Amino acid sequence: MEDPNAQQQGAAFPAPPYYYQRYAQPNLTLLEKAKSDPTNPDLAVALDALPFPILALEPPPPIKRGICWMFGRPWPVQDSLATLAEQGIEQLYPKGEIDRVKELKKLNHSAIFNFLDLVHVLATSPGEFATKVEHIRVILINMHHILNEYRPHQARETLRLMMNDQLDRKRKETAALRRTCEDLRKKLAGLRALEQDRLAIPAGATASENNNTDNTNNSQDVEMVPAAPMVSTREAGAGADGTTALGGSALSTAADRNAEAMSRMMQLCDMIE
Amino acid sequence: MDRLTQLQDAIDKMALLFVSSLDHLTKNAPLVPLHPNVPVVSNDHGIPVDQLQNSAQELALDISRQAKELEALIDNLPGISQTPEAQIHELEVLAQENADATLDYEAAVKEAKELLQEVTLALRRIAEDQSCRS
Repeated sequence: MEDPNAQQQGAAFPAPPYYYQRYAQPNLTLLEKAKSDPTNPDLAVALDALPFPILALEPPPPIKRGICWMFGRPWPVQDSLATLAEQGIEQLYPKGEIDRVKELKKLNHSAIFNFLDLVHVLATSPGEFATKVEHIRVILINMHHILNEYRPHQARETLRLMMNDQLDRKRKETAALRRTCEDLRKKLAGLRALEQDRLAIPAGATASENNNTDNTNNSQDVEMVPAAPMVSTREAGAGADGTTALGGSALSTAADRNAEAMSRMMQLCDMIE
Repeated sequence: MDRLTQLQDAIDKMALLFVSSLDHLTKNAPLVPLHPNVPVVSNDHGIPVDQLQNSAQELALDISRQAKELEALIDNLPGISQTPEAQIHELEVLAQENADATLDYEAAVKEAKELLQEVTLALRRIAEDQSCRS
């Protein structure tokens, strides 16, 4: 067995943090007692004996104010754009309500003029470039800041547009679904009317048909039983079915119509799915 | 690409132009004599003066073109028409409408599924009908 240090250096995973040993059963019961009854005196004695505050066993509360550190960089807990004064940069445009377009154009022009100044300084006394460079830097930062103040507004606008989009799409899909359902219902009704027609034709069909179609009768009855609990309109169909078998074979055109109805209904089924 | 990002990129591009133009001019300048008695003998460094003048001209043109572009982009900025509170209120209204539309949609889907069951059964009947007859 290697000694623990070597294991630490060569192990595939890091060791758990050292305070895992605090979560022993006696300590946990102490924690329960401390939470329920904080004023108990012998509890205080027991708590003092521990090398750590008992509440450290609970998970730390979420950070609500200020700055938290994540991946080595500070992030403000309330995420907001820092004002220029906070960043230590002079604010070149007036405070309060401003006409962004005008201010930005003014800053644009100043940037160009300052660059011209810089070139001039470099040509005459190159050692003094620092002030002009600083000026240009301040101007550029101001421009960026004005634009960054647009960002929250833009974010909310984008969200509004996306939600409108979603709403439209949902409504369209609902309408399409309802329309398809209506079409299907009409076709079903049409087919049922078809079967009623077949019933109306005199059942001059022969008894031989009766024999041949007894089997079909049975199979169809079996199918009708599980279908019966489904929808009430089925009952009308079931009654029609038993007698259709009798009158059906005489009408080849009815068979054709059936085949056509079948293909149409399969198409509509695909649409629903 | 959205206008704000375009604008900010244009500003950065202009800063880059500032830097690169100065850089180009200083790096590629030809040698000049420090003293009239000591002429310049090597031509290895930099590019000749007239070429430098031309490139200076081009750089100046680039910078002014970029400034013009910036101005055009600034003009295209959309104004801030609504206060944040109004926007948030609209978002809440939209969220409510979305929830309602979802309920409608789900009801329609349920309807469609039931209808699908009916149709499947009818098809099965027809198919059996056909097969028994033929």
